[in-house]
Amino acid sequence: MIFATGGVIVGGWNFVWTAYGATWLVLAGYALSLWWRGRKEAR
Amino acid sequence: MSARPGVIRQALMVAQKDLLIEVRSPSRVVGLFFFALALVVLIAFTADASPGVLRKTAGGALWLGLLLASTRALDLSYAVETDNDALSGLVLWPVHPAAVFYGKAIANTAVLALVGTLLTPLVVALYSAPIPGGWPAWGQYAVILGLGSAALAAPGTFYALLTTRARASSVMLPLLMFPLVVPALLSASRATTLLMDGDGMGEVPGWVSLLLAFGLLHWSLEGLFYGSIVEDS
Amino acid sequence: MPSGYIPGALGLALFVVLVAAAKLAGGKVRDNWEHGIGLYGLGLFLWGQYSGLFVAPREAMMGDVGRILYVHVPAAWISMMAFTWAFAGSFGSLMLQAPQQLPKILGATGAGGALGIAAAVALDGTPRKLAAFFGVLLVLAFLECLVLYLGHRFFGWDADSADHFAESSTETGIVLGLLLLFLGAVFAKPTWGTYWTWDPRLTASAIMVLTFVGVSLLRATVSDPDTRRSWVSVATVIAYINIPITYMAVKWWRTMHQLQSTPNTLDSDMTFWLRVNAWAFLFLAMWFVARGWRIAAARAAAEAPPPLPPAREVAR
Repeated sequence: MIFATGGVIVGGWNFVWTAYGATWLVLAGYALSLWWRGRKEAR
Repeated sequence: MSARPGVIRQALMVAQKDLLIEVRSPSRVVGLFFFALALVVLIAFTADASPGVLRKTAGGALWLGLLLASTRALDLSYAVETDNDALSGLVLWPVHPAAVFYGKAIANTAVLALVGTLLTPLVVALYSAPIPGGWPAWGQYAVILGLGSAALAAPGTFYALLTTRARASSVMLPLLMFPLVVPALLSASRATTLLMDGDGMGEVPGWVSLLLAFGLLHWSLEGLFYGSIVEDS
Repeated sequence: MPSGYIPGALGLALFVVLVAAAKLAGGKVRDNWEHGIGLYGLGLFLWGQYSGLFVAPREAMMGDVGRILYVHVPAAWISMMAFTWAFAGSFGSLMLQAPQQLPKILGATGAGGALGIAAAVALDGTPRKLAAFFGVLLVLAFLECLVLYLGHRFFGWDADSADHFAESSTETGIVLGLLLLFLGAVFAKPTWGTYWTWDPRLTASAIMVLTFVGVSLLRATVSDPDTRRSWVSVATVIAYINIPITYMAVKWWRTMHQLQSTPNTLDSDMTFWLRVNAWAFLFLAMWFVARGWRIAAARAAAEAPPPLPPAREVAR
């Protein structure tokens, strides 16, 4: 939930968690893909 | 032995050759014109039909039509060369590769500018977008048409060669070229729309100089690199 | 707060030590040195993300939503950095087609750069700006050629390995760039009330990512390795040089104002946490690129045709 009181945005943690969650997911996913492809090439 | 002509002369000869092909088979330019016209008409259907809105879409429709027609024109420009493997012959001749690039780019610019000129009265009529301001405004319009055609032709000529040899080449050309020509499309269509709106703020020269900068950058960069890609093709 | 540059300086020092160790020790160290930088980046990342969420102060206007800056801005910076690496790799691949020319080019670019900088110091007005522009450009070309020369001399880089580096950097840039676009939308909704504002910076980034997606598709669709290398190198160089003019065009098209997201406008605590996160993204990206580089090189080696039999066997 977001509220604007006096020009300052209050709350909005759902957006913060979405942003951080997406970042973690993308970085971890890319790292896993590189690790997996590295394993495949090593064989 | 006669002396080899200079690079500029060579480029003009290649351009002359390509334009001669266009003149001998006029159905190609006519086909491009109707392709672009169909797009311009279709874009009008997708826009709001009220005259004020249509006038504001006119510049965008014209340049979108020209851009999409240019991808067809470029495919044709190399189809001529890949039939009978004529491009290899052209490269094996003692012609400077930059001359091949500039010649083809000049020919493509001329074809696009011609299609644009033929489209202009129809866009003006269909989008109820007359250009106010008399001859000076039409002069500016001609400059925009020429520079815009040149700005689309250089990256087009370059990437069309790259994609002739790629798999799924008809998809690859737009994928490579469209994001790259965003500045040219944006400045040409903004300048055209502003011209049709009377250009109260005098913004057209700014957009034209951006178009010129884009054109100069791409005409020099791609001329420089054409040699290294044509040898590998 | 301590300076936000300290974690970066430590990481870069670690990078130099690891590269030197890889060169001197060889063997297992040579093939795995980048895990050191990756672990360092991961440590910084965990610290920076926790602090961005719970330690850093609320932003004055945006409140807690301002915390998105700690992921959004590093993603923007480092995706741009990865595309810069891709450009450097592709330019390097073109230069390394004729490595014997490098000393000559080093001399020319070095002298030209020094001349340009000297002219910029002596001149005034527009000539000064022009001289400075071309001077800095030449100095950058000089530094790039110096790195290429040393890499060629001591690490055996050639046109192919530079191209593998560009391939890996482009991929990392696209991954971070797509993340950046998603984060931009998540950030725009609570601050401007809409998911996409056609903000010039974000729009130009979107076009940049699309351009590089096109380049990597070109790589996927050309089958001959040598042709692919030179074509993709040229396409990458053109795509990169096109970025500033795209940004300029989009900015003129949308002269809509947006708040500055550079650290200068934030207070010093926020700047510190922003820098920690940016360094974390940088070192993680270095790990991504190094791993991808190895994978690309291994795949190219597997694709390469088997070597011709020795001459003597043929003779019998």
